[in-house]
Amino acid sequence: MELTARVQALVSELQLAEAIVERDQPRSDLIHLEVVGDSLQFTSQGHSLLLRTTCPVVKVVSGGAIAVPMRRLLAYLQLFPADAEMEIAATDKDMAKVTLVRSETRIPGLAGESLGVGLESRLDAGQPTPAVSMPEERMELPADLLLEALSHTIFSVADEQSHYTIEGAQLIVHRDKIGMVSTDGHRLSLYLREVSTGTVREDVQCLIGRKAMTELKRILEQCEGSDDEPARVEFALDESHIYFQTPRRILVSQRLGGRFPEYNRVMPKEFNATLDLDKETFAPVLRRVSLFSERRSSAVRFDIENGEMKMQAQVFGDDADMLHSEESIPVDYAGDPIRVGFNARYILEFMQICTGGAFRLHIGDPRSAALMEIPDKAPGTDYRYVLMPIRV
Amino acid sequence: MEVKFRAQDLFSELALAQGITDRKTTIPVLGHVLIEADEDRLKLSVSDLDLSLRTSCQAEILAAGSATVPLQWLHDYFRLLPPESEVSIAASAGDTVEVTLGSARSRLRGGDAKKFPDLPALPQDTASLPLGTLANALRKTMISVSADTGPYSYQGGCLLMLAHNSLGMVSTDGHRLSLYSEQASLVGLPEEGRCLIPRKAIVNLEKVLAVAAVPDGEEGAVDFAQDGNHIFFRSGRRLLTCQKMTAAFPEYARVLPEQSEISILREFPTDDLAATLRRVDQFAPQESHAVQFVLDDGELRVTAKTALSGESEASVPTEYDGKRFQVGFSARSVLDFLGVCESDKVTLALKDPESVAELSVPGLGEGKQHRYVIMPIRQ
Repeated sequence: MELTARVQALVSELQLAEAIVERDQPRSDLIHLEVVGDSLQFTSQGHSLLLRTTCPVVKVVSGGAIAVPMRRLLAYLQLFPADAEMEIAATDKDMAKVTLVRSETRIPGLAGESLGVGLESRLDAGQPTPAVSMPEERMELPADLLLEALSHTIFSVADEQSHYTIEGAQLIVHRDKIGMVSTDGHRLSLYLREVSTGTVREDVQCLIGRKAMTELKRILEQCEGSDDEPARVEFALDESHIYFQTPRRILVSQRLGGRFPEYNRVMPKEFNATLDLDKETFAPVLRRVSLFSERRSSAVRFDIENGEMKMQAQVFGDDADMLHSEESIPVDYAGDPIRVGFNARYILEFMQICTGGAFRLHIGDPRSAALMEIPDKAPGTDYRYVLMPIRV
Repeated sequence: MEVKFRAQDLFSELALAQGITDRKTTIPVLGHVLIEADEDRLKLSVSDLDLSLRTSCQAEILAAGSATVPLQWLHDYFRLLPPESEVSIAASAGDTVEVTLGSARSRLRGGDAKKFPDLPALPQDTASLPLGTLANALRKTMISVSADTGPYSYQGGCLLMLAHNSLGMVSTDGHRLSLYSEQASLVGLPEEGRCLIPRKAIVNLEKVLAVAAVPDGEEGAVDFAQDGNHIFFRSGRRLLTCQKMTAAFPEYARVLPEQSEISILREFPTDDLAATLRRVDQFAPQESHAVQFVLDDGELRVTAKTALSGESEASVPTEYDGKRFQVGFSARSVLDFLGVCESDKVTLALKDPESVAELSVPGLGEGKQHRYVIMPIRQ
């Protein structure tokens, strides 16, 4: 294998692979490089994920393949100007020779080392890699819609600390709407958008893991479409895997087991108050007050009455520091006084996707779920953030 | 006590104070900042018993008094406030400190101001050091202070050398030595002398000097004084004090290579050499950062090799047609110097592969001296 390429072309593919390959084991960060036609193909794998991408090269001298430790290669290439030309060659089975401006480096590639985890294809260094084949049955999804769905739901996916069984979101691909829903047991994000009929042949729902979501989001962020021809993603499923494919990249994820709860049943319907709020006045205040809350629960108490919303937090300690903070902002509300507590962190995470500034908060009684919405959203979009109150 | 001030005025001082307090302290009051309302200023003091900082910010005093407040909390909170907002702090009996701005009212438990340690008093006689010169000397020598040895070894500090007509600093961690000096007239210096300043004081003094307000066209000055146990630096309203280190600094002049001993003297472009070293360092052993410098055939080749990560080689052109010369250095050590040399060219002076090498800055200017001596690493 021998070829010439621009540093930037390799760096962008290696950066995508970086989040996938595991850090924990030595030799686990190998990336498989192979000349395919007149481009260079990258295959990387981590627990339950496989990413295959290609990048254009300046010149291919000879074909072949090698596996190299990706973090070292990435860290090295990042020290060169992005538009520098580099040569990369597999000298023999074990070494990748990288030549750039007055520099020459040999990196041991671990030949014969298996990269495969769980997937049928075992990728051996030095051997031509078997094709990662998308199933025949595929659907085309708009890339921007999928990206929106990911950013609106990814933050409420359960993590190790949340003791919730499903560490992933439900992907909803229906004939009339596409979207995602995620929950960690304390809050739930639902994003759906109407699509014109004909895009999707049959209704499909499946779970997609947190790590696959993060990676897919990064891939989609680099997808360039135009107004005439918006970028599209091919999506397919088989019994054990989910596939997403863009023109140069394919991501394969193992399917998560488990059943996503009936989210329509937890959607609150009745409220005592509906408040129209503005992120710019609300968020800095909540951030300050929450500094004085218990670290674990981030509990902040909201008292709403007489056109005022008071936020309050405190920490009781035996001989630790006693903290207390309260601050208020004006709101358009004249009904009965309301007192309710929420985890401030959950609300602040919602603020991050509330790019327009305005949002709406529906509050029921102090023990039932509240609902947050963004009023100025794109037509046909349904986004709801359901938040369980906490006792204060 | 009750005071009113601009959030930004206090925050900038809190940010400096953060470097002094020890987060893991077992004495609660050392994690606190002492605030005292006095005349038209809010005075702040922090201390870790060895090192202390006293500063102040402009404030409107409504009621005099004092209190201590957990610094970390105050800092985190003020970071979230709009810089221009007007804030007031009130301390009442029962150690409660209340912070108010607009509708925001926050309370936190402070401490008793009486429990705060007494800080040493600035002696009457102070010498005036030129601020720019002192800041230069700090920046250029702090790179070779050892971070691991602690205050009982001379390697954990910088030696400040004051003469009537010059100011210099020198430091070494046993692998390299930095020396910087400038001609300067030190006004009010009672006698020429040297004192060893611990690393933590050096780091914080550098930060204090970096934010010193020097009026346009003026040089800026730092008041310097010492008593039996302490060293004092005063820059404007900020006073930093530290315990003197008792360790004796060795006769460093002996390790500086003599002009006559140097067999190879070459100039290199700083950026080029730094980029090369950074790249090759990726493949050097993680602990030692050992790379080989090979002078041969019109170029300086830098190489490194480890079994696990591979091998790398890069070159910088130089006029050299002598015998092949090879010597090993820590890439990190050389990079540290290149990072503070503030010059687009550096000079490398070599004797033989077993002896120390010297990096210096060509054409530094009259009366200035910046030398960096590194030990070779044997292969």
